[in-house]
Amino acid sequence: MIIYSVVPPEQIFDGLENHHPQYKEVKLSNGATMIVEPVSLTEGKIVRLISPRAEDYLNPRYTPGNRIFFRPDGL
Amino acid sequence: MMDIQLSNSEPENPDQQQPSPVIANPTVKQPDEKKGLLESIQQLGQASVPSPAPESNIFTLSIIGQIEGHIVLPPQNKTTKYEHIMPQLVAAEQNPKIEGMLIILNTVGGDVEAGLAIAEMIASLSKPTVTLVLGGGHSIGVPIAVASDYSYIAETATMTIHPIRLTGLVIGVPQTFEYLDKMQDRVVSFVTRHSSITEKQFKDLMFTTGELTRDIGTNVIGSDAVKLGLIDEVGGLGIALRRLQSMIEERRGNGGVMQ
Repeated sequence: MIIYSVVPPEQIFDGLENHHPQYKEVKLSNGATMIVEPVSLTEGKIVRLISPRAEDYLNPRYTPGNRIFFRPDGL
Repeated sequence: MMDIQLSNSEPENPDQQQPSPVIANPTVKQPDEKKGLLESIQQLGQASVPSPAPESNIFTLSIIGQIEGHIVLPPQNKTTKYEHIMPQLVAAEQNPKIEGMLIILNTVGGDVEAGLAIAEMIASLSKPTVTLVLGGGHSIGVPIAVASDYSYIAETATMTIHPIRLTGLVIGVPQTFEYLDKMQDRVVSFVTRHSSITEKQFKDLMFTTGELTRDIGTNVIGSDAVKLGLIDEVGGLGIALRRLQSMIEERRGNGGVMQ
């Protein structure tokens, strides 16, 4: 990986060693997968969407940064 | 509840269900129905929902901060992640409601692979694309800025053109220099293919000394970028949107094919 930026690399990578975000994979009922960063037991922040359907990426509900709520299956 | 049931039962009354008045004067019945519906909504206490804004036929993409590639950058970086951008571009390209794309840039550069991937993606779209550089479109932001069909730069916006630097992640052997040179050539060839700047001009800007305080390279501001042939025109949002609309209309006239 090569960084081509006007920001000095030491500033970009500062704190890289201590940056370990915990991600969880969540499968949606429509077949899409989401990478989620849990905020609490019942809530998470969408980090990335993985879906075979292109239109899912324009769905504002699935936009990265949005919050989603976990719910037990079958309820 | 009583009122609603009453108004609902009225049309069911066989005396009032004669078809002739409805056909003879259909406009008479409509206001009554509307009124009844309005009343029932008021009775149920439902809030009126404002009609949604008309859907835009333009897909807007903003590329800000660092362009993040294969490594998740620490949180002090504001990043645009290429894995978010690419599928959105696919979705916009295949969505029939979207007719044009506006790409707004204010980026400090970032990952070479990710930046070139976004630039190639924008360049290969079949729908009209317009880029607008606001603030800055530096380093790997340059190929993204020139990737569109027509590019604008704000009068005060700048673009820094400089060589790709060695970082601590690369070993210092002669082969490394060759490798970096190859990486640089990818950027140079993309920019010269998608704008009217020549390879010599671009490389001259890249290796100028005395312009930048801690680096070699050039800071190109607004109209200078246009003079050099890097960007098509100086302008802002209004003019960029008007241009995109006219490109969309032209494409419609050609039966959906860009010229």
